[in-house]
Amino acid sequence: MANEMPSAKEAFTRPLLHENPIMIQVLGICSSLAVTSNMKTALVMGLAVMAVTAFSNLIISSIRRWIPNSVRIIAQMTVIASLVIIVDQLLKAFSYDLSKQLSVYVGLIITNCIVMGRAEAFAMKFPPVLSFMDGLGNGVGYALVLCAVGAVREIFGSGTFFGLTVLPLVQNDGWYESNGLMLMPPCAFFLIGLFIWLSNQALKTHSKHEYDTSRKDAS
Amino acid sequence: MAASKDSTSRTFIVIGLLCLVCSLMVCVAVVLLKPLQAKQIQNDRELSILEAAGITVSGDISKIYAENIEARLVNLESGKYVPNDKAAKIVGQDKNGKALIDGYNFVSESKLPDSSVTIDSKMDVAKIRTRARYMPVYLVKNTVSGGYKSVILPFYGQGLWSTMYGYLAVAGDGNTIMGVKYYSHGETPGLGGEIENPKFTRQWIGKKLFDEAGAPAFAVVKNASGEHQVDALSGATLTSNGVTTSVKFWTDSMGYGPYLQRIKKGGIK
Amino acid sequence: MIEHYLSLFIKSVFIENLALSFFLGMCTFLAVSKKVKTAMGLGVAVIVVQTLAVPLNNIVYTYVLKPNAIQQGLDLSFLGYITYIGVIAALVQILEMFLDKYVPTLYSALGIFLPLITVNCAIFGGVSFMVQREYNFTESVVYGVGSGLSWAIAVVLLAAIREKLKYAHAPEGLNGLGLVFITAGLMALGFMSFSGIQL
Repeated sequence: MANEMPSAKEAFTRPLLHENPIMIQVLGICSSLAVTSNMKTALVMGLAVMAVTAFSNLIISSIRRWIPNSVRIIAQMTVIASLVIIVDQLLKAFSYDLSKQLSVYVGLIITNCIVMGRAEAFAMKFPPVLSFMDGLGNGVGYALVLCAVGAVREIFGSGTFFGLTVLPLVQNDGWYESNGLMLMPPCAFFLIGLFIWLSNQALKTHSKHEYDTSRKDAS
Repeated sequence: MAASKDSTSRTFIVIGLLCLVCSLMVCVAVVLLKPLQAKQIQNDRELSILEAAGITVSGDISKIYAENIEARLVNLESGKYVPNDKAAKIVGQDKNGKALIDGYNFVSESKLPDSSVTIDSKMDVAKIRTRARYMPVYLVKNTVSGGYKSVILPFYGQGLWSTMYGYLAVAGDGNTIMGVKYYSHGETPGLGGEIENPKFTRQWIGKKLFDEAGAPAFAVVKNASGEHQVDALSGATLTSNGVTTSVKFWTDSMGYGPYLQRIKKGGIK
Repeated sequence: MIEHYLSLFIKSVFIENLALSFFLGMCTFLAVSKKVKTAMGLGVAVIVVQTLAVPLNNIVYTYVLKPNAIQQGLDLSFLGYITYIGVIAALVQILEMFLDKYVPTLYSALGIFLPLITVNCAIFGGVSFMVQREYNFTESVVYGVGSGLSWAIAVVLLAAIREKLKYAHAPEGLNGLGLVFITAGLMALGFMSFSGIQL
């Protein structure tokens, strides 16, 4: 992590591709795999994480001067958990059906490494607005990958996109024989593996940066 | 600065304040959103029941539900309805003393020793081990000529991955299926998950639950034929078997058997 | 009765494998699976914490958070997430101190992994599933052991495969993490074959 202060725009755009939390930093994989069998859940999960990362960064950054070092993890955890509860309650109130589908994975945002990781690595060092942008950027980067995986899985797995028919299925008198593997959990692993491959190739040809050094495995 | 920031008293004060603010935030959100959530849950259940009844919904779900559906509590052993005052004791009551059968959670009840019955392992084809002593049933009113068209029975049983929960609509003869709706399950999407698909559930309509001798005969099998069978889901044999066994259990003597017998004799009352 | 618990155990270890069918604890799963030995250490730590955390949270849920648990009409279940994570964090801290003081050999083996576990969603996920499925106390003990074991098995297996993968000639961009993902996917496919087991 660079120690000089980035501009707000940089803080937002960097995590979109070059420091994408899922593909480059390999954070927050858990939920990205489990909720991507269709677009709707992927998008909602993406939005939820975006909101939580952005606001937790904002709050933690504004109180960073007062948080005692010895208990900072638990203080961050408290803020994050409260935000997640609020998101969960909102989902239950306005989109009960989706909250049923996401089941425990909304709660798992608490232990999503992206949120904790950004709080620790960015929000504890930089001022609130910047941290907010960084959180938002990471959330968007995360949501992008989620939606990409979700789109592939939904289109080829059930022939629909956001529930609208794209490829008419044989079961419904169409022509497309759906690919059942796409809907199975393991498929998400394959897709993310392939995405990582693609992004590695793309980034290598685009710039001479040594990305392998930035690829630190998550903790 | 650094030393005072980490002093014990300061740690306590900061964390205490943080907890206070966070808990306030959370509590406000919960209190404000509670009524909305309750409404969502209620709508969700009402919609599933109406769907099982084959009633198309447009507009205010709760209003249509109130017009068409009447919930009663059944004592499964005797097959008789529980009178309102006694039901109110079991499920709680509203301001007018009417029993709140709609909110009755028979799954939680089935885990409490006082309000449940252990199912003998030979009878337990649906693999649910215990069931609640009382179950809600939903009578579908005949809005044109009075009386009731059908009755909707909640039922559940093990599929391949998960417990599958559904509503089964049975006609006044206590034998003919009028519709089915699975409202919660964790089966493989695209394979077993197709139990939700209207293409599958539409086949159920008009099928019979019992054979001439009165034994449960309904089954989901490959190459279905006759009035008791429905075509299995391709690639989901174990889910299909799970559907068969859960219907078998709930229509047999440990389930709604006695109640259905009573309907068969006297119609839905 | 024994059959029921046995079937729950087998189910939680193989059929509902936390890592491979619910994707929980993926970050640590991918990060700490380079060597079998470290994977083993982490696996044991997860089993220990899971075995303690699930039943402990079960008690908290049953006697405090469940609707009507403290008082008729009081529903505290919305505080679930924050309570579970608090209990898990506290448990891990206490365990760390306890091991450090009384079982230093075990502490030196597991110590470095323990802090990692607080943010391991396998633990949190296991607790959430326990609550969602309304397990009773004994069931929660069985589920805790089983689900911890399931995660440990998965991470050790992956580590064993990764040790051999070093000698594979994969396309350059795929080498490293991409390949690990695909390997994990294949393992998950393998574990899916347990799904047909009817107990």
